[in-house]
Order: sequence, then C-alpha cells, then structure tokens
Amino acid sequence: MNNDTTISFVEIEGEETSDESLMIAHLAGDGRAFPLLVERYRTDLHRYLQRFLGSASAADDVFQETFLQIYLSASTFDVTRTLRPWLYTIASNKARDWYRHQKRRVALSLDKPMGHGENEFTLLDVVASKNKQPGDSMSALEESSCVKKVVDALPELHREILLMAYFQRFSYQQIADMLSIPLGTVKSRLHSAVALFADGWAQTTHETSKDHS
Amino acid sequence: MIPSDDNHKILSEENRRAIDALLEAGLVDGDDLVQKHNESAESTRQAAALSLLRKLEAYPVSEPDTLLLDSTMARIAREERAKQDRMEIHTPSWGKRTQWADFGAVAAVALLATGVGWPIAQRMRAAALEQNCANNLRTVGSSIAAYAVDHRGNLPATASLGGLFESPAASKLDWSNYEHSGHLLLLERNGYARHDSLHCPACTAGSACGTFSFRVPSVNTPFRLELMGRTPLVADANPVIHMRRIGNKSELSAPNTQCSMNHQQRGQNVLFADVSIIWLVTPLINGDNIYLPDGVQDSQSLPLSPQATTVNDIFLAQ
Repeated sequence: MNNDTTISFVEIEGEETSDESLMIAHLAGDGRAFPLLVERYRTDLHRYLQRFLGSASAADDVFQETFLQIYLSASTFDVTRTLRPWLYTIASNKARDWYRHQKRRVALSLDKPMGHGENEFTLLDVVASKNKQPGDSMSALEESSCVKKVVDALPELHREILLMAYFQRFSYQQIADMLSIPLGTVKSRLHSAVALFADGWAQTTHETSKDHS
Repeated sequence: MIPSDDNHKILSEENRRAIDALLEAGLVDGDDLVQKHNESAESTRQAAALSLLRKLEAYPVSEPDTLLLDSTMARIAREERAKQDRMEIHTPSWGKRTQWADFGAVAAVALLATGVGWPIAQRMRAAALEQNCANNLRTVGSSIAAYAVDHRGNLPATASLGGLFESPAASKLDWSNYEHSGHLLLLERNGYARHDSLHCPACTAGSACGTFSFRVPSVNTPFRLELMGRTPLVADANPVIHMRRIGNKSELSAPNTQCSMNHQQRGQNVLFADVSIIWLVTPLINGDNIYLPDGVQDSQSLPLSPQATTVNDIFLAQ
C-alpha cells in the first residue's frame, strides 16, 4: 500500500517524469498525469497486446480495459515499486479474460511426443546449422505471415511468456512475480514456448517452401 | 488445454542453457554472439537461438490509432460517471415543493399497477392454488390406493359414520347437514391421509366450500378400486349440493354447467382411479355430469339419499 505522505505535489516534466511519479501525481489529483501515462504506453502496450491477441481491434479493447483497471485500482498501487510490471500484469490478465470470452482458439495439444533421448528436440540446432533453411527464401511479407501464424497458434500461456521475455525484456524473476508462479515454471514454460515456436516455424516454412516448388 | 510444465524436455539441455543465457543477459549480448558465433559451440547455439527469436519481430503489428488515448480517457470518464450514478443516493428534498406533475406520475403508475398488475397477480395466484389443490388430490389418490391395498381392493366406504355421508345428525337425512364425505374422513381416521390434504386450498368462501367430493357407490355393485377403470373418484366439492346446503336455489338455474365453488366456478380438479388428475372446465365427462346422479337435472330434484342410480353412473357427492 502507498504511504499518504509520499503522495504530494509532483512536478511533471514530460518524458523525464517516471511512471511512478506520474501515478503519484495522478493520485494527488493532477489531471494531466494519467493521460500522459496512457500516451506513454500507447505504442508499446498496444503492440504487446496485438501480438498476444492477434488482432489490432482486440488490442484496442484490451488496452482501454487495462487503463480503466489501472485508473480504478490506482489507490492500491504501491508507489515504491515500479509501475511497468504491474501494468503488464493487468494487461495480460485482461487479455486472458478476453480470450476466455472469445473462446475462439483451439488449444494446441502438447501431448504429442516431440522427441526423446538422442532425438531430443533439436530445432535450434536446425536453425543453427549453416545449411540454407526453407524460411530463408521467403519474402518479408511471407515471413511476417508465417510468424503471425505460428505465434497465434501458440498456447496462450506460452505466447504470453514468450512476448514478455522477448519483446518486453522482462527478466525471469519479474515474469515470475507478475504471473505469481515459481521461477522454475517460468523457465520451463519459456523453454516450451521457444520449442513450440521453433517447431511451428519449421513446419510453416516447410509448407511454404513446398507451395513455392 | 493448460500445457504441462514438463514440456521443457522437448528442448535439449544445451538449448535450454542457451535460451537462459540470452534472457538473463537481456538479449543484449546476442548481437555480439551473432558476430562471433564461430568462437564456441555454446555461443553458436546462443546465436542460433537469438536468430530464431528474432524472427518474432516479423510479427505484423500496426501502429495504434492516434485516437486511442482519447477513446481510453473517454471510457474512463464514462465509467466514472456510471460509478457516481451508482453511488448517488436519491433522497427527497424536504424543502423542495412537490410538483403536481409528480403526483400525476405517481398516480399514473399506481393506476397502471392496479389495472395491469393486479389481474396478472390474481391469475398467477389462482393458477398456484389450482396446482396446490391438484397436489392435495394426488395425496388423496395415493391414500385411497394405499387403503385399497390394505383392504383387499375395497375403496373406503363407511356405513358406521352415518350412512354414506358424515352428518352431525345422522338420523336426519338432509343435504344441509352433510359436512364431508365420510369415505374420505375414513382415510383420515385410519391414518391414510392428513386432514389438511382433504381440502382444496383455493376456496375463498370460508367453510362453505373447500372440501372434496367422493364417488358415490352404485347400488348393488362392489366398491373396489380395480373395477373403477379410468373413471373419476374424487373432485372439487360438488356445487349442486353446496347450493342445496346453503339453501340458494336461484343460483342453480343451469346446473349442468355449474363448476365447483372451490375455484370460483372456473373449473375443477378431478382425480381418476388411476391417480391421474385433470382440470375440467365443465363438470361433464362424456355427457355425464359428475355432480348429478343420472336422471337428475337440477338441485330441486336431488334424491333425499345421495346415491348413484346405475352401475355406470358417475356421481361425486359431498
């Protein structure tokens, strides 16, 4: 919980003002602070949500939901902590709610064995090899389309953690705190996400190259 | 499906380490690794992992609408207004003079409630009471069946309670003295039914109605359940006898269409020998009035002793 004594007048100096200071200013009744915060995350959060939800219009909705929640819950924010993980936690929760309401996606079955023992999954090895890969011959548009297809097909939990780690550069520990799951779970989930992405990428590019031939 | 966390096994240990190293370094060192990926197997693997992850950047994203800020703030403002509306408590202002228009509105609502709401409520109440009456009759039917099982198939019939009908003055065979079918009271007295189940709850005319009328045995015919087939056994109180009892002859101008007083003459519930219950809007079944013996057209010609006249005559009397 925030301490009342910390909520005092905060000089807003545009980009230099921290997220947390903007929150303090907002809590102190400064009407300029919250719009600045929204604008600050407009691009970054919206892109995250687009990748998470696979749709720009859905991202619009969830973006608004997120900031509405931030606005309504502002008094519960601990101003001694950083705002960004809290913001992304709320955004991710809202995105998951959106999925639950949509129920459009079919969960990808992970029961299918993908490799054991000596044949343990080596997709990264494939990517690492110097041989020309099917994806190499794709146009930028095709590659973009393939990546979207593969990422959108990832299970929600894996997609979320992959986006948090890669695009938002959250550390394992931060992700664990945000999702309230053990550090080991974060790691294993990310490993799975990478492997699923690699698998999906290999399959998609293979299909694309077959289409070309 | 929630994925199992065991799925990390699908990556080799080396690959897992490479991913971890990249993430822990904040993906910053990856650029260097890509430049010098020939230096070691580990760095090559990290470079490959980074190369794979960088494909994510090809995910197509569009620039958010410039109006997103405005639409977000507008949504927050809407929510704020709605929240204030929810929290606002509308209390009457004592200092404010009540307008005639307010009285008019209140009166209009009251009239509407009376004109529309009251009849609906009445119909719902009547329907509920009809159902309660049917439930009681169902209980009576079960009691009769239980009685018959215990008495070699015989239906409850008593002569010891003052002939066919319970009467406070058994020797005085007059309709006005008949309070209830002695047959049904036999069920109560022998523990087959409770007293309150022998009544129709829909009756609003006090003690003058609310009872059930039981089948009058035909002359010289065994009064046994298995001989009844699917014919009426019990029904809401007989209106003809009711009128005779209270001495109101003028209301019996058309006795063939009179329904039981229990439901304000809208109809009556009838219990059949197979324990089925049917709501009838007339007292006629195949042309036979269940409330009159054969050959009798009105209350004036009711026989002194209430008795079914023929073997097939269905006569339910109170």
